[in-house]
Amino acid sequence: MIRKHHGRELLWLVPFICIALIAVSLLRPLPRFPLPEHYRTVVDGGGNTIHIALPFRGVALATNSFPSGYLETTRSPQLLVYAGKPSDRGMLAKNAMSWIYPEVLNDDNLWNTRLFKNTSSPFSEIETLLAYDPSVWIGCGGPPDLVRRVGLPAFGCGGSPALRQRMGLPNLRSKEGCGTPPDPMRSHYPKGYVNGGWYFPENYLFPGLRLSSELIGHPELAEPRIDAYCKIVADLQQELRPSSLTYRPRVQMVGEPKGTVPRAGMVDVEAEREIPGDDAERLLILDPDMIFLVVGSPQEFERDSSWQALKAVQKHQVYRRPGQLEWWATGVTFKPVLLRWLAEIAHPERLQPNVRQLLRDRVMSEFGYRLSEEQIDLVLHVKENAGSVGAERFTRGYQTTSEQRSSK
Amino acid sequence: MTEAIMADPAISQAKTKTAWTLEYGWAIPLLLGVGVLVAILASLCIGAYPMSFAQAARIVMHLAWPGPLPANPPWTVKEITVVQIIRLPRVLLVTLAGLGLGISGTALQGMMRNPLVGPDIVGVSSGAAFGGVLAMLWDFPPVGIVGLAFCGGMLAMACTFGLAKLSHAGTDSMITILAGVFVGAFFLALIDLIKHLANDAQLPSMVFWLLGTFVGADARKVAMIAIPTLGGGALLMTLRWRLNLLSLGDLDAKSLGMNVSVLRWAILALVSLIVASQVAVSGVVGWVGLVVPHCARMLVGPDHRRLLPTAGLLGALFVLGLDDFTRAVMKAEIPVGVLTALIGTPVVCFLLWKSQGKGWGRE
Repeated sequence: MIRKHHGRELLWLVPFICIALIAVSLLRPLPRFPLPEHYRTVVDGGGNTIHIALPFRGVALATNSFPSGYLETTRSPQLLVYAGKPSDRGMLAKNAMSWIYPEVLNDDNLWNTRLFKNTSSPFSEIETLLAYDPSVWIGCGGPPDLVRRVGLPAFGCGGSPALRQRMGLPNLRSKEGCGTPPDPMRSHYPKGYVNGGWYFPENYLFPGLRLSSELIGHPELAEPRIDAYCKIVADLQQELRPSSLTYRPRVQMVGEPKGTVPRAGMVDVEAEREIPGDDAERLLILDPDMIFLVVGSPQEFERDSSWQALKAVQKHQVYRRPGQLEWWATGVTFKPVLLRWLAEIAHPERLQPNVRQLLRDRVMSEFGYRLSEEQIDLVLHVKENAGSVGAERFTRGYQTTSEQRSSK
Repeated sequence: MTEAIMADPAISQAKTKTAWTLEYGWAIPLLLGVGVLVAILASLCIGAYPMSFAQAARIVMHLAWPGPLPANPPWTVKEITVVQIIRLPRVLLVTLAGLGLGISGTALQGMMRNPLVGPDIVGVSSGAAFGGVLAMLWDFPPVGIVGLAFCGGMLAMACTFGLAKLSHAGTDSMITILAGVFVGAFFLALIDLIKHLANDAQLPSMVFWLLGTFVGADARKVAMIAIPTLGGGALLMTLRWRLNLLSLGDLDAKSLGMNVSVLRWAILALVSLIVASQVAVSGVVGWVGLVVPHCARMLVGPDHRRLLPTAGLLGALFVLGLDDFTRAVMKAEIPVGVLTALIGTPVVCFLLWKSQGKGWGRE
């Protein structure tokens, strides 16, 4: 009887042992995906060799790979098998790429509407991607190391292009700067002002464009697009002649590579001197001539009693800059347009109003899509900038009016 | 008089229940053990990649069975990847966290003879969380996080009991709980200070971790929680007879020849180790250690020989169920710590109202 009870008292050991055995099973070697029977090989931004299964089963966008960026750089919506989570879909809906490729936005099969649709876990993301079974995954946020260790075809668009160069592969950053003359102020910038090599947007735009073109099997598509980009930058430099400028407005702009500001004939107030902290007093000390907002409206900013002493507020030179966060967060198409927009604000006397036409032409030449006047207004934040000095040149029909004025 | 008491239907019903518990109470932990194993396998079927129960069971059986895997396995590489790398670590992490919290809460309540005690009430969770965030601030490796979390948990526990002793309250008093609340609040303030000192890269991970989450479970984390939980839990199981004596009160326990002080510190150290390992891998998952022992007590009564395993297994089922609920029904990674608090509070209120002290009577 006592022995019987003693045995019962030890029954708790059974689940303990079972759980321990299952836990120990995790120490087994990881499973490994075999190489596909037929494949082509590409090298990603981090120098990793990826074997893409053939026949091509499509591209899946893994964690932090923005659908708008994929669409802009590849122009291949038909190759997508998985575009992302509902939050990614929401972001795309606010982006101009959803006008150009509405089929991607509207196709439910491309978006995770199944289990874990709102997950932020990379592990659940891997599981979702396994369910979609693409030939290659793009992981711009850096796919988990685990994915590579089990032999899955994860293509990292970030990483170190220098590693590729050491492997004897073409330089992903060639043509960076598009021949822009060196910034004479650069040697005087405070320590840490320029973040590593990220001086021009081309630093990340050109590698992204070249890698995406390689990924879809058409590397030859990248260079003509890069050349077209550089031509607009070079044309602007020729028209603006920054070296001959006698006045360069001091501006406050965040969220852009530092090289954009001098290219547009302006001076970044942040580059003048180091002021510690990031509180409201800092902006009052810097007191820029112009302020470019990333969010919110200039009118609201100007109404704020904290900013009444700022020169930019007194002269109504606060602007909502286009192309950030919504409508056009990506860059190959839009960055040259933004550069012109900034230059026209800073130096209207030197440049003819051409931003609307340039935007329309860029989208037409890149995607064969004609932007409507309303869409251009949205991209350029015409409504938000209505009260700001000089922004009227971006409104519809401005050119006609000015021509009439000059003819008078 | 005696006949009148015997004739009372409530007392008669209670006697029948006690007799049933004595005879068959051992079967409840066994059933719960089977339930936990089935729940582990069932949880492996929840996810974006389709997986049948039979296939999940087959893979787990082969993985857990010593020896090499079959040369021509009846599963695909994708299926074993999903089970071995993604789902099984998470499910085990959740199970072990629930198991550890259930056992710890029961041991604490039994030791302190107080049903309001739980690892988060006496400050051990806050102390462990403080140790964890301190280790994250100093960029310690994962083992360092567990180590500091353990030290933090022990320190908080020592502070709580030290404070209670200073007020000459012993352990059988509301003072101990008050001391735990004070110590917990102090460590929470320290956590806030560390969050303030953390840089932009450290802060989001600290905040998400503190909410109690099982995101990012892997084999390393499972090892980090499995060894202290299963080892510490097994040691606590061997002490469950002594816990019964301890719950009679210090004087009675001493008169029965027990070294109360040594036993109490041994239990505290084991509870701290288990809670610290849980907090280190998945953040603060509150209320489990408080709610689950109550439910277990309703099932098997206050005898720790059955109560301790029942509470552990019930805790595992509870947390596993919540995690499955967030993944399968809510389809999002809602931190489990938030859900346990949301569910735990009304459950405790309901239990207090329903039981009205039953199972904790001094009879």
